[in-house]
Amino acid sequence: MEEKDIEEIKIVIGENKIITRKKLFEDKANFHKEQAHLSFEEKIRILIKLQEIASRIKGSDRIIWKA
Amino acid sequence: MRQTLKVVNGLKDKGLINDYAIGGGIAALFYIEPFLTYDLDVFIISVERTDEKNLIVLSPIFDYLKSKGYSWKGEHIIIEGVPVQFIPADELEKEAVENAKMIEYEGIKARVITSEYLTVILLRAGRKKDIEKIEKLLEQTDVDRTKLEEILNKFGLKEKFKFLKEF
Repeated sequence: MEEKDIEEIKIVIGENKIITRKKLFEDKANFHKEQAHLSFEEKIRILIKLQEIASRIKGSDRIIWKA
Repeated sequence: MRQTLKVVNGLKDKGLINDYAIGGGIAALFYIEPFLTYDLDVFIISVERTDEKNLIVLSPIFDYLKSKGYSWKGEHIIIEGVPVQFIPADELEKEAVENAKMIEYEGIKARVITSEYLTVILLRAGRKKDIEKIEKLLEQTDVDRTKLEEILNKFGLKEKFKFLKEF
């Protein structure tokens, strides 16, 4: 099977929504780009949440930032 | 973070540093999708102070911060709940600080290294986590390729970048 054919393989997701592999990976890339365009303030809020989650999981003594 | 930036800006206002820009993970975070990091790297152009052994003396900055009640934890000084590392800028970083971008965080102005200089600084460091950030910078943000190439050429890192792009 050629790469082009692999890209066109259709996948059923959610409630009978059908998309190609190509579209699936394009959507993933777009999601990451959207995240990159969040405001700096929003990113810092997410960072602090990540620090809190990591601290709960790893029990690390790392400092969790103040917003 | 807001208060931390106010304190860092204050260092410049008080003449303890000539200039600064945020680098490292937080500069990357400004441009790319959120990821976990813990410290705020601040590249500084210090008021020239070297001792007889040619060591860069940052003690006036730290004495000032200590007098304000901020304490050390390992390599970081904790300013308003954020671990900050002050890094005296070398030639490349100095140029990065001089060309830094002015941003605002909750109404506080701050300076952040541009994505082009950040890419080159990360490339020079060359650790796995630095390379991952470069890939995201190139994918997720508008890096000015002409400017990037200029900096790569100037600091002799063009070949290293080409090598990275081949993988």
